Amino acid sequence: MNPFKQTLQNLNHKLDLPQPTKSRIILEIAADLDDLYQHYLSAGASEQEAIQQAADMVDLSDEALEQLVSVHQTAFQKLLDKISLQAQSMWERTVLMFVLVVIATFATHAMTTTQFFLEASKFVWGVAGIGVVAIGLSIYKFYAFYIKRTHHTRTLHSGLTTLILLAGFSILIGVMGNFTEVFLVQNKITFFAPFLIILLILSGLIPVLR
Amino acid sequence: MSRIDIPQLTKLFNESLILAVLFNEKKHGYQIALEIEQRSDGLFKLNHGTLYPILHKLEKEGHIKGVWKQEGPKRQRKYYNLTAKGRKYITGLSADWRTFMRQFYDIIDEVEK
Repeated sequence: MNPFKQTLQNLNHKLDLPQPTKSRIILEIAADLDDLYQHYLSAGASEQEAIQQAADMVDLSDEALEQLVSVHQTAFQKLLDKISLQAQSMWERTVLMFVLVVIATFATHAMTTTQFFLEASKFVWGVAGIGVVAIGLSIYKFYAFYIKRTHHTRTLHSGLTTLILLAGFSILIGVMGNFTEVFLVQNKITFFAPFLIILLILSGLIPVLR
Repeated sequence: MSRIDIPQLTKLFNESLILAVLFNEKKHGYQIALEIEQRSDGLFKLNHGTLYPILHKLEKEGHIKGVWKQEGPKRQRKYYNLTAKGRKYITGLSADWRTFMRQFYDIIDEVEK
């Protein structure tokens, strides 16, 4: 067992940074802790003393932690820190809604005027609706990962199940729509079949009659 | 113009020591702290809690560059190299320290006269 597990866990808990950055810092400190431990052992300290001295040596004060976090924070994160959590959440929701409304407006315009969509099955609208929700969720995830850069485990996992479920629903509606349309077309074919057969025979007979 | 700013003296002092020990070869955090301590006969002890924020700040500013190296099957180490920008910066800082100390001694030496 790593004798510095507790020290590193405390550090992991205290460092408020995206997980990849945090992991790299902890990896760097862990290697130095090992060297310090060996150094104190070779200087004559007992195992327990060496562990304690090494841990004390890399003990990051609140000020040092703040400096470390500040170095790795993006300008955007620093700006967000100045805004209260409540205001931040409201601001994020408003921007997300605005982006979605803009996308939905353009998409609706394109879908209601393009011939392809005008002639499409009604099932397409179900798939399109799911698509809008998925796009909204994806924009939020993109914002959280690449702009806000929150890589906490909770943030990483949130919304992924919903995305998978939405994908499943969209496939389900698509397949259902496909079969329904085929069924409807088949019924039409069955209804018109005798007429089609007569038409085919007649078209074949025309050259013979001539 | 001198870069030595009195309220920032400790910060600049630590930065200068770190950059100076990286001048000739790349080193990792532990080696940097150890070398500073050894070369100053134990007078300058750089706590690792102080070392990391400075190293990461210098790296972000482009004065040093961190490179990860695999050491053994399970261990990775981050070595720091002085960049061209860092080399220029520490050369300037070194000259500034000299001027600063000379002016300091000009005043202090009065006591011994």
